[in-house]
Amino acid sequence: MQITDLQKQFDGKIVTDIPSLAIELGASYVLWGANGTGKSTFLRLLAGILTSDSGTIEDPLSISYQPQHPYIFKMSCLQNVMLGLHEDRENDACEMLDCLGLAGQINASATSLSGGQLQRMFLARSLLGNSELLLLDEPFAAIDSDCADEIVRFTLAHCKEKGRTLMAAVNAQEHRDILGEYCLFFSSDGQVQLHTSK
Amino acid sequence: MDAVELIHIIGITLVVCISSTAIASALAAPLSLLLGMGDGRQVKALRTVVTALSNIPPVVAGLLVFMLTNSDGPLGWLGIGFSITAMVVAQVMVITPLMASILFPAFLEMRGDFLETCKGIPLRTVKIYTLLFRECKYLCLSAVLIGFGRAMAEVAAVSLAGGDIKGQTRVLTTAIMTTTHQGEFTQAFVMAGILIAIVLFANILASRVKEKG
Repeated sequence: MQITDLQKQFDGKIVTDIPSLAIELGASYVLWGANGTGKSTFLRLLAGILTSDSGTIEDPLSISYQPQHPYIFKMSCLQNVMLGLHEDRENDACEMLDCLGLAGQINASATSLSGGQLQRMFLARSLLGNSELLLLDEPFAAIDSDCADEIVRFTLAHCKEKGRTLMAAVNAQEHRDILGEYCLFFSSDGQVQLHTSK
Repeated sequence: MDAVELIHIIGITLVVCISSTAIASALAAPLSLLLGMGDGRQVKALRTVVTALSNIPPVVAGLLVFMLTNSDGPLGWLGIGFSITAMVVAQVMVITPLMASILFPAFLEMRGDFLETCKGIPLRTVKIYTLLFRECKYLCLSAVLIGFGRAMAEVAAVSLAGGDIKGQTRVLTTAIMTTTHQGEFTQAFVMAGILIAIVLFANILASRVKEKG
């Protein structure tokens, strides 16, 4: 997927400005930068939630996107995860919830889950999707630090196994180090620089 | 007035109110979707119009239907003047904006995170809207019951559109007016009691449903 001259402004201020960026299938990207530097805006532009002021995206990949504050559907944890999935994938959904430490909450109402449990539930739904590019906006922020690293590693391993491209905005250095095959540094003027650990 | 006539009046009342509530629900659902999920200047203007129409005086709706459907009116050829159909049309005009104005602000409030999440999964448009109504099911049911309560209690629109014809278009509210004018206060009180019981039942149900949601 090739992004060229992608730009977005809010009230005359450039929030995102990407002259050229090639997104590699199967790679993992971390979005890194201070608050308000346009990481979420970039993800929303890629997901089609926002429309860019200019720029093109060639050879687009199929995309799924997990926003920073996903809506909590008033249904069970399993039903939330099953949204968008075919009925015959219920076993996969249960296994995924188990892997993410939610085996005991499968039939619990999603509205009764804690913040960390909710993020795991949202992550389970995102990981079970079939899109080529998975966009995650701060997906580990509310997860307990003692098991967050394990979940980050699991997320990366799962995407690698499925050949999906992972692009995640994170705010913890250790998560950046685990995921950051490529790192997109966002600065306050909307500029984005690509660094690679390869 | 004998028991048979009273039962007939209650029957017509329920037919008119249930029909108009059903039709208004079918109209209010897509209208609320448009107002709650839509964007643009026209949609904003329409929100203002619908909110204003939710307080439309029923007598205006009745007058409009009367003017359109009486034998000299532009729709006189339809032959629905002073009929149950005309009464239903008048009530639909009164309760559709009322129901829509209950639903669309809720849709507007939840649309940001809801739409972003659904599009991100990604879900198809039909699935998104089905989920939206599922998420707001108690509010929807509450809107339906409030609409029904309004239709039951309404007198001016059905009186003008239906003409209060004995045995044909006489409903509880118009019958109460007529019997009161005739000095038959006992009959009027009995019918008022029945009307209050039905309206109270609908309103209590609406409150319970709203609390549950």
